[in-house]
Amino acid sequence: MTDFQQMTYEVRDNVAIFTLNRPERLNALTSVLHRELGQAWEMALLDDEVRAVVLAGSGRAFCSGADLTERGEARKRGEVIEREKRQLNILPARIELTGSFPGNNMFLEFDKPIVGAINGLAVGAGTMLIGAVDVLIGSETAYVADAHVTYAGWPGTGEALDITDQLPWGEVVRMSTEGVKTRIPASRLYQLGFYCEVVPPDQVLPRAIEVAAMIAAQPPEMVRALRRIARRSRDAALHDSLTYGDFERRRLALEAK
Amino acid sequence: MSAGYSAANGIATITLDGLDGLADAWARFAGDDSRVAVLISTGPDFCLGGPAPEGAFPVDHALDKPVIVAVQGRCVGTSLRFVGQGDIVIAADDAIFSAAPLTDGLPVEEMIYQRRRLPEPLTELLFMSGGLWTIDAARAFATGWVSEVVLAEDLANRAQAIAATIAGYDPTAVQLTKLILTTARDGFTRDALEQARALVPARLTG
Repeated sequence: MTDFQQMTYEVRDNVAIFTLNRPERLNALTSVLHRELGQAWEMALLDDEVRAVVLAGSGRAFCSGADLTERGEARKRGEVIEREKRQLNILPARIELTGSFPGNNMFLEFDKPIVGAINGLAVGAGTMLIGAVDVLIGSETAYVADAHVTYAGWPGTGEALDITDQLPWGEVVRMSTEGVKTRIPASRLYQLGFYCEVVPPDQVLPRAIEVAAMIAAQPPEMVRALRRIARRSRDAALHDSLTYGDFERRRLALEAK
Repeated sequence: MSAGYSAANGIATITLDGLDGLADAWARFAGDDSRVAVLISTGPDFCLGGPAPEGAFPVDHALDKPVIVAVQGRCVGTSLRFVGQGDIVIAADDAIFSAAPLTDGLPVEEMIYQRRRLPEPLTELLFMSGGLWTIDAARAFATGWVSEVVLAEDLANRAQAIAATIAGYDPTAVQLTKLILTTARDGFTRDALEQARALVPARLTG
C-alpha cells in the first residue's frame, strides 16, 4: 500500500489494483487524484512484479468525471487550477519519467494490460478513462454517459478519445452529443463487445481480479507485445499491422537467445 | 491424413483434417471454376490448432472468391486464423473459441486478422489469456464475429445453402464485391473507391 490520499494502490499476485477512493464524490477526478493516478501508472509500469493492472472505483460509482466543485471553489478564491494539474497522466498511454535530467524527460509507452472493474456509473472523463482500458468487466446495473455537451463542454483530448476505437461511431456520437439525455446501459455495452463480461455489482472487482490473474499467468513479455500490437493495429492498414507484429516476434526471439 | 477437396455446382468443399494438406486444397480452389468455398470439419471439433504449415490459410493464396467457414466444437489457437481470414463464418451452437497458450509462440496473425471482426477488448482478452478465457457461440454471434449459429447437425447443410446462394450469382460480380470490400477493410476507403472505379469497367468490358 502506498500513502495516496484519494486512491489506493495494492499489488497482489502480480496484479496492481488501483481503486479510486472518493466514494462520497462518486470518485470525481481532482487535481490530487490526477497526480496520484499519474504516479500509480508509473509505479505499475516500472515494477516488474506487476503484470496486469485492475482499475476500479470504490462505492457505487466508477468515476463521475472531473470534480467541478473543486474547480468552482478554486475560481471563487480567484485561483485557476493549472491545465496540466487537471490533465496530467490520468490516462496511461504515455508515462513521463521525471528523472535526473530536467527538460530531457523520457516517455515510456504504458504497455501492460489494464482490466477495468466498472462497478458503477462512468460519466464524462470517467467514460474517457475506461476508453484507455483493455478489458472491461462491468456491473449489470451501471451505465456510461458523457455529459460534457450539456454543460457547454466537450470530451477530453488525445488519449482520452480511445473510446472512438472501441465503440461504434454512432454510439460514440450519440453519447457525446445528447449529453445527459443518453445513458448507455451495461447490457448494450456487453452486446457491442465493449464489456467482455457483465456481472452483479458485488462481483465486479473479484471477477476483474480473476481475469487479470489469467493474463498475469502468461509470459509477461509476450502479453506486452500483444498489447503493443493491438494498439498499433487500430489506425493502421492490415499490411502495416502484420509487419509490426512480425517485428515484435523477431524481437522476442532475439531477447530469448 | 490430409484435407479433403471436392467441387460441385460451383461450390468447393474443403474438409479439415488438422492443418495438413490445405495448401493443395486452396490452390485447387484458386485454379478451378469453383465460385465459393466451404471450409468445414468432421468430428466433434473444428480444429485444435498446432504449428501452421506453409500455405495452409486462405490469405496465403490471394483468393478473390469468398470463403465460408463453418465451425463446430473447439476452434483453438492457429485455427482462429480461419475465422479471421474467412469471409462468412457460421457456427454450431456447441462452438467454442480459444487461443493457444502463449508459450506456443506469439499469435500475431491469429490476433491481427480479427481486426474489424471482433471488438478489440474481446480480442485482447482472448489472446492475452492464452486460452484461459474463451468465447462461445452465443457470444460470437451477439458481437457479429460469426453471422449465424445453428444446431450442430444443421451446420453443413446451412453452409452449403449459403454457398449455393453465392454460387448462383454472376461470378465477376461476386469476385469484385469481395476484392473491393477487402480493400476497404484492410487498407483505406479511398483505395477501395479507386480500385472499384478502375476494376469495374475493365472487368465488365474485358
